[in-house]
Amino acid sequence: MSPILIHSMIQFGILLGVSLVPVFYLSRARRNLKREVRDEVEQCIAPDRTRLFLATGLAGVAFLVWMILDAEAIQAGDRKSILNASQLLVFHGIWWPFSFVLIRKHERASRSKKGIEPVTPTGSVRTASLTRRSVAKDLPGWSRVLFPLLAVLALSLFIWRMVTVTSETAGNWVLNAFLFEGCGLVTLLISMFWVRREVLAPQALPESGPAGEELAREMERHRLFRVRGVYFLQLLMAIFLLGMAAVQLEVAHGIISPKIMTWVGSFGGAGIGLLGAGFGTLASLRSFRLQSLRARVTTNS
Amino acid sequence: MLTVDLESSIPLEEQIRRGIRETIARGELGPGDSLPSVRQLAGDLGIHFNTVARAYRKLRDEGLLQVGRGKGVTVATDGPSGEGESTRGRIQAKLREILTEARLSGLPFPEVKKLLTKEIDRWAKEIQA
Repeated sequence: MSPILIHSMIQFGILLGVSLVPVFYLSRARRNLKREVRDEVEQCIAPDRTRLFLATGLAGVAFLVWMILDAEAIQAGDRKSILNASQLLVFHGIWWPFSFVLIRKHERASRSKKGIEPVTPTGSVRTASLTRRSVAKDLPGWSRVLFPLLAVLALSLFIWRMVTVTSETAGNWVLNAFLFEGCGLVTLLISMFWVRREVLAPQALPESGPAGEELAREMERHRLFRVRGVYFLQLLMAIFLLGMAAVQLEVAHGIISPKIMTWVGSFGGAGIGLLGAGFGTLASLRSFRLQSLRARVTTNS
Repeated sequence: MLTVDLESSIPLEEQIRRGIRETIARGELGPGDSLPSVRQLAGDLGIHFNTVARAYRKLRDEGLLQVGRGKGVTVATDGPSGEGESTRGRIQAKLREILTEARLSGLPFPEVKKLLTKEIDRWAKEIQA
């Protein structure tokens, strides 16, 4: 077995392993709930959990196929293969948008379910906070400057390095870099829209009383965690993709060897995957805690 | 926090207006502080955004809020002055109205005085806190 295939399989194993962590945590946390609350929570999260399983499974299978094909292509020395470009198209053109649509569906479904996160408040007495929710308040100031600065810097570097490529054989690397650059910018845009939508989404305040107040505090903490977490994760992903685009252009210039590029890409991708899975696990746990807390408040009232 | 009661006989617009006035008076919202947008507040309360917009407009006309294009709704930095003769006259007229209502309801004046003192103390405590 070639080293590159072993490397691919290890990477796949790590990603599959971390994808399964939230599932194990959720199952364990569910067992600790009281029976009456457990049934209610179970009803609410079951469809979403099925989607999570499906998404993880699909991504896992696609990733395995890609890894095997990619390793074979690299072994065969077929660097100009269309596979290098198509792997980017498949993963960033299909998998990311698919995940994004899935998250949106998940959010919408959760919100529309009674007792989870109602968009329209119920009851005759309604309370709202008079504090303005804004992206500016929920994110540190420097991060808002970093976005446009990074985009401008990356674009300028990209254009400069692309127009200065002289070798006729560097076409595929330039195409790869172009695709990475595109993915990086799309990731930045998704992040900006997602964060804005989450920050400004209507938030009904729960019932008054100590349990209600605890729930309100927990809801706010959860919202901030998701907003900041997704923002920084997407930002990191965008930086990685833009960085990879830059590295590929350097490969096209003959400054960096393709081997180094492959290792940087593989380990960078796995690192971000690991961080993403960690964030996903924490977000799932917090979401689960929030749902059981809400179920408790609803059961008590 | 702003609370409205959908079943109250007081119009929603008026409840929002009173709620915001009270929040500003208590010092929970200071000059220059941003308020939620019309749609955001309407969404949070589950009411029509025109109702919130009307309440905001009234407060702007009273000089309590500023509505700037692109800046959103903020608490006015130069709110209505509390020292003028007209302000004193307005408050006196409102007190007369309260006393008339108390008299018509059969509530003795000492009781009204007690209520007023209690309310002033409560406000003072809340402002200090």
